Amino acid sequence: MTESPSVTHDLTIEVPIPSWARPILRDRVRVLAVLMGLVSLGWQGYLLSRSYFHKDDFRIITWSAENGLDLDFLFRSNHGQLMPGGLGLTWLLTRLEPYNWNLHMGALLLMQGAAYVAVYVLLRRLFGARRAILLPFGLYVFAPVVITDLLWYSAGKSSVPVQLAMAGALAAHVSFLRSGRRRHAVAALAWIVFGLLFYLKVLLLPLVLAAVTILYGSLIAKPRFKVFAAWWYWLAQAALMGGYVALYTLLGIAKGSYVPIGTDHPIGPVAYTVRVLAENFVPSATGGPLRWQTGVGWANADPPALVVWAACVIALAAIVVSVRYRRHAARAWGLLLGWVIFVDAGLTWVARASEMSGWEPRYTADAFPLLAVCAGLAFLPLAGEAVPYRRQLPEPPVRGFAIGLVAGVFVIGSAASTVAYLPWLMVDDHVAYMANARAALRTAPPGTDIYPRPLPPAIQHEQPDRSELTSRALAPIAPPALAARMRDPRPSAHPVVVGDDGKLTPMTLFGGLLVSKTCYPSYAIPLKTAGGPDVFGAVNYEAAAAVVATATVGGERIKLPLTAGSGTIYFPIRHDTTSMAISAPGVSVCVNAVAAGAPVPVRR
Amino acid sequence: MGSTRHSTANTAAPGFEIRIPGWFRKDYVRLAAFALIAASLVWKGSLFARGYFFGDDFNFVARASEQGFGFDYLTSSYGPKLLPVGFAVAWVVTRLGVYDWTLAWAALLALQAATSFAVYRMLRTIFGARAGIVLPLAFYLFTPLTLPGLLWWAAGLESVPLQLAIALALTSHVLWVRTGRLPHAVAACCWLVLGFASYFLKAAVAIPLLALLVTLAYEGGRPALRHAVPLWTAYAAVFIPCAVLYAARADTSDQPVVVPPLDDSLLFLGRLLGRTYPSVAVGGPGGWLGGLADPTALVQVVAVALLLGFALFTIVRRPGAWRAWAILVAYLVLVDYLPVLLGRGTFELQALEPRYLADAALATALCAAFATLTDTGERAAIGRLAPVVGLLTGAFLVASFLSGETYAGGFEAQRVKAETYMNTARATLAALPPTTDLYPQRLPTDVLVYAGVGEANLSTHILSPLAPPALRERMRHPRPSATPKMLDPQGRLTGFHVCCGYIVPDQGTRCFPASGGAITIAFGSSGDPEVGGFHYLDGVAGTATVQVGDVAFDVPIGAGDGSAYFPLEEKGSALVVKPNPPLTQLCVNAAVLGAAGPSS
Repeated sequence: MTESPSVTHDLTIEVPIPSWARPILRDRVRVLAVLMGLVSLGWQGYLLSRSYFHKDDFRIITWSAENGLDLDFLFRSNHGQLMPGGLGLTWLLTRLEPYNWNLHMGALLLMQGAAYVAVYVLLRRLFGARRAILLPFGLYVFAPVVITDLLWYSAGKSSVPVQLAMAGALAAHVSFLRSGRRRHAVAALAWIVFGLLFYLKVLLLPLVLAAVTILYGSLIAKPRFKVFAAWWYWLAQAALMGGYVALYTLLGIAKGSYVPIGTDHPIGPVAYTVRVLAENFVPSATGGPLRWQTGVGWANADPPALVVWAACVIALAAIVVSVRYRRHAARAWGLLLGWVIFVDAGLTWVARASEMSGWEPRYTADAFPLLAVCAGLAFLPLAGEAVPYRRQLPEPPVRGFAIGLVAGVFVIGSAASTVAYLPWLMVDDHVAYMANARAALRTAPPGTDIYPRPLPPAIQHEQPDRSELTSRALAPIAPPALAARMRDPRPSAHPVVVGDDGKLTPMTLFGGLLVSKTCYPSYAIPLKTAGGPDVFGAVNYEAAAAVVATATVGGERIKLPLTAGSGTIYFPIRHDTTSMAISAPGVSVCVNAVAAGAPVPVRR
Repeated sequence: MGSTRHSTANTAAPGFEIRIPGWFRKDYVRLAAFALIAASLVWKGSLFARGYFFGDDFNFVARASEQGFGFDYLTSSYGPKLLPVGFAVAWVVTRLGVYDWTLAWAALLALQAATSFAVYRMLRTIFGARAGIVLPLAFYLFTPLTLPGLLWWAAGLESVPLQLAIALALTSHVLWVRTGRLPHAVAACCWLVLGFASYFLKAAVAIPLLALLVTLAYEGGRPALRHAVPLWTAYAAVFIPCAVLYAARADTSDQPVVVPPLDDSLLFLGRLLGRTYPSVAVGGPGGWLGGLADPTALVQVVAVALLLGFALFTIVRRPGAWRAWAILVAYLVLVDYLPVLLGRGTFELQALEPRYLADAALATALCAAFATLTDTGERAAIGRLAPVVGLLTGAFLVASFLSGETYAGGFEAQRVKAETYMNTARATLAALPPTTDLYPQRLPTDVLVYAGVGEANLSTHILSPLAPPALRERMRHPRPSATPKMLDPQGRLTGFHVCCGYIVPDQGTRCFPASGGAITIAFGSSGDPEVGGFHYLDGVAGTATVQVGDVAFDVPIGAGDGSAYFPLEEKGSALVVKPNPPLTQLCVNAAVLGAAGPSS
């Protein structure tokens, strides 16, 4: 007799929902919001995995590797920006492991996820736990500008904290309006401080808080808490603003701006504002721009004309419909437009307007938490609001169709726009270069002399502080001894440079060789150069015996190890000079050719 | 209204007023339909503006320029087709402006506008003035199915008037069935003729089929059909002479009618109706290979799932809906598959060309409307699904826009090249003295990608319409010349050379031998368009007679050394040159025959 109890009974598998999970799952709105956030973060994570370090990233990582976590480093001007938070974050990530893209990716995703949570909390606080808040929430988490802004570390690490600080401060402010509790006020102030650590735009966040209070204060809080009576709250904000301006001015941060701050720009303020609004913000707020063009980061928006028109029509329709049905909707749109026009367009125009910058997603991404809030204010009733609408709303099918239509356009448009961004992430050369450089530096024989030259221009262009030189930008991934020698190169008979593929390659000096038929007089060898971190000299010599000669170049004395017979030796020239001298006591040395210039790879 | 204004002022919204005419007010269905039609026309116009004449278009213009407006021209065959309506439009457009692309597409877009309004009227007539008709209308207006059959001018001149005729004929047919009034019957017959004159093969099946099926399924059934015998008799009376004319004039020698083997036919069916139709209908295909739809597997699966899901849903929810989908299937097979299979079935890639499916957009919109709008109370049914319907509509609009972008973008470079060439050629020809001898040449292949059905790619035909009248005549009838000219690949004036090498006298002799004053040089000409010529020494001003095969003509001879060239389309084995008095002899020291091309 065979017994098989496993077939005689039906198998029922029960997956018990643990008691702690039940209340979580019961909150449908939260579950859906989390799902939406995760979908967006997953897509952003995939896109980030296809991105890499680019341009300015190399400068701040180089700085982070070269400096301790001191005030001089944290409060320096990064192209006109004060960003102790961003520099501190980069410093931390660089300390963990220099140029580890996964670390930067993780940090960006964490910040973005935090911003999603903050916007969700804000919406829920304003409008209550209704499913409708998922619509403005979706407007934020699926906005193509928000998604693509994250893909360049330098942009994301400044812009995402602004989004986070804005939502956080607004949420705390709303609670303060309702409760009057001091801890909410302190939280709002803390969010402002947090944001100021990352980006100057947060300077204007107190104005948003004040505007929300004036425009919607009595609707948000009933009975109305006299928030303006909390003078210390507003005074603290004013103090933060004033303090920031003073610090910014005293430190001379503005001087570092790569575009002079002012009103002299290649594009006028009106044209620039129209571009920011109609060809950047509004298209992205409706799922565009569908097409991208070359930009300072990876890519800028390039919406086709029909997309611009369609987006403006949709935006206008949203405004008209909301104003027709929802009380006070115009205020919300005024607040949003005020931020986009005066902060995203106006401030950026004054600071760094170029022909291209109006199309840059990173300059409008911070408006999207506000868009979520204002779209909510323009359509949804505030929690506890008695008479939100002016008139009978259209029948549910009409409403449902309209909402579905806009959502369909937005979501499919967003998917298409972000997919269209993928080809612009041209990282293959960057990744190969850094991988090769990492391997080459790790396996370089001891005593290798790597002379500096710029990173390939597609990866980083020339910087005022020459941080794009391999001696500085690549030193963080070299073993310590080699890194020290890269930063402080010595005279060498066989120096090498990092080639455009990231591999070590023999070098020569760019420019000609000055050859003499006889020996140059050793006390006056003609050598005219301005000197600099990537300027090197070379001499051809005949030495009777091996000797360490002393060269005097640009007021600096350098020891040159010469071998017996004929040879070439390279040496750094840091300062300007018109001639050099060589002395080799007791040994006859004949210098018959001399050169000065920048190291370049020898074509093999 | 007063309270509205009051509260709007409260919110300090910017105030502006737009006066809406009285007839438009309150009729929101019409308002929405007109807005959608306007938006679709702006979209299609913007796509047109990025295009240019292509392929057959050039021959349409050339024919219109060469021929007078009359029965012969209008009923001349274009391969296996007659398209009097298209030829009429091409003639008018060409007379207003030769190779004027803006004019050409504006005329076609005007036809499309009329068609769009006709489709709206059809839906409104059949289903009444309800909001539900806006969705099938939007489908017709924005599905990429109509794009390839519209944006290619020659294709649009056939397919757009066909759609116009279908919509108008069906409207009149239904109106007659409902009212029995004579004017509707007359109109229906007129629209039937319009359809025959636009695209005979499709119209002859499409209009009667739809009229029959719609009557049977939704407009009264068999009694109505019996009642309609007089109208069907009238249709037959209209059809027979048209069919006779078609059979007499159409020329199938270039594109023979072939029934492909069964497996090829099934492959064609699968491609056309299984891949191309669904993926393009729902807003795809996303990617194109030239004019061929190139949907990804994902797009195909989603498209088929959407269409089948929609059909099944309506069939389950609405008792009569299956009839609508049966009509659509019959239409697709009989109108869009069979004629194309017979004409193009041997070219399996053409099953990926949505321009053969442009009229299916109309049929699909109509059948979808039948499947969803025939019962009362559709609002209750749609109520809970409204957000889903909205979502799908939004997604469809964005997808269609993207498909249109990639379609137009794929052709843009070639269209720019062709337009630049034609504009340069126009300027070149305008500046030439009327006595210039421009010899026939083929247009660059990136300008005229292919020449069209049974037509020669020759400048005499294609470019002569651009020339001023005197020069045009000379281009069409090239004469012997000492200095023929050609256009270079950019459309500028240049010299020419004849491919490939010269015939010279035997070694040691200076001239070809003459006997009896005539010089005979052996060379064979094929009868294809070629250029012949010879070079002479120490000439005296006068003429010489050239004879090749059965043709003879005079060529001018100049003083001193020189050349004489002449276009040739004659089979022959020798070139005979005979100096005319007062010349007695001529020293010819080289001769040439071959295809001519621009000297570079």
